[in-house]
Amino acid sequence: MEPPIYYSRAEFIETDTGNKVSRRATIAGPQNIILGGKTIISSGAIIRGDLRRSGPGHAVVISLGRYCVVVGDYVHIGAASVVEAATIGNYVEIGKNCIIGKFTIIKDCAKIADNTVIPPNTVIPALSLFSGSPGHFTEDLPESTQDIVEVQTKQHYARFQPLDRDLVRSSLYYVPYNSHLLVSLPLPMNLLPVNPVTPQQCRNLLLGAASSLQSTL
Amino acid sequence: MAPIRDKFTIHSKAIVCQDVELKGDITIGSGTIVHPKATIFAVAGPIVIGSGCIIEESAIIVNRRKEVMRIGDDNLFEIGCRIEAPSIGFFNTFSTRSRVHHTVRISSFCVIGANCVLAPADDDTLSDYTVVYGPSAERRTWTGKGKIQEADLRRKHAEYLREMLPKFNRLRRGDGT
Repeated sequence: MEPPIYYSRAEFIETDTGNKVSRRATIAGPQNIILGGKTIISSGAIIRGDLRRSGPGHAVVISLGRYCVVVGDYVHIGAASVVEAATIGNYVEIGKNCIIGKFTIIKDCAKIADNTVIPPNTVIPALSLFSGSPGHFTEDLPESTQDIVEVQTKQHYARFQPLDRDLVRSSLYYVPYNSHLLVSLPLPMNLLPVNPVTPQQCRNLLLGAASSLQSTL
Repeated sequence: MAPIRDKFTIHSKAIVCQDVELKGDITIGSGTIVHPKATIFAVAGPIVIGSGCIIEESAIIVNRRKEVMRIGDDNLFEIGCRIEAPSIGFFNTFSTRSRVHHTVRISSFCVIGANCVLAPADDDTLSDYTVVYGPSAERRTWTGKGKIQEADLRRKHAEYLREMLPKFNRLRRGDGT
């Protein structure tokens, strides 16, 4: 199993049904948005309910996604993707940095690779992988896709855990487990305790971490 | 550099959401819609936006030049586009995450496709009906077929937004009112 993704408890609001919504996400027209439970909305996401009626289903994992009109179950929308689709089926995976044009229909178990630009009015059939700019059919997906995506989204939800320790507030410093992890996540919550090092090394690592964080923010 | 003086002139019929970042001298014409989280940034000279434009969320419009940045009527700025062109005509479409640098002037009826970057080193003017498309930002000319239908669709869309957005968002008013 992959390592957990930590988030700060202060940043996320958790509901009884297990939805986790970042305080830094923008949600317009909340009357029109139904979260199915076990949904994660990451920071920086913009979800517009003020434009049309909507009702996402169950266990939708959204990270920095937006424009979820009718989103099915076990859907994962990658970071920095813009989705203006009319409907999205169940078990759909949308990669990072994608642009999904208006009125697109995405059927069940479809997959869209990272950095894909799907032109408006496209219909993406079930069990197909789309990629490129403009996005086009690349290959068929195996029939086991449904189970794989279900396990993946459930795992993602399980990996998304709160971390109370906060680097900024804590006087006890931990050395980053791996600096790459630090750059890929938005906040300094991903610091894991490892073997002790000299105070000088610890200081240097933290200074490096702080500057890399500043550049990512 | 002198600090930027804020001066917003917003027409009473324009819909500008509260959650919009405005800086500098900005004039917004009647019936123009600015979605939440859009950014309009008049760094040096002022920005004048005509009527019936739609500026979607996280779109960024910047004027780095001293002279007035004029944006005509019925332009559509889609999600995440970044526009710095010194002048923009009528009825242009800037698609999702497109970028236009300050060296390009845009005429009328142009379309900049999704993810296209328009950044020539020298000053350039995009003539009427130019369509920029694809990953390498190729250009061709639109015949103008279906222009009236497109215009009608855009006006309908704007009308719908003018009706819907005030129901869910708080609006910003100009300095004068």
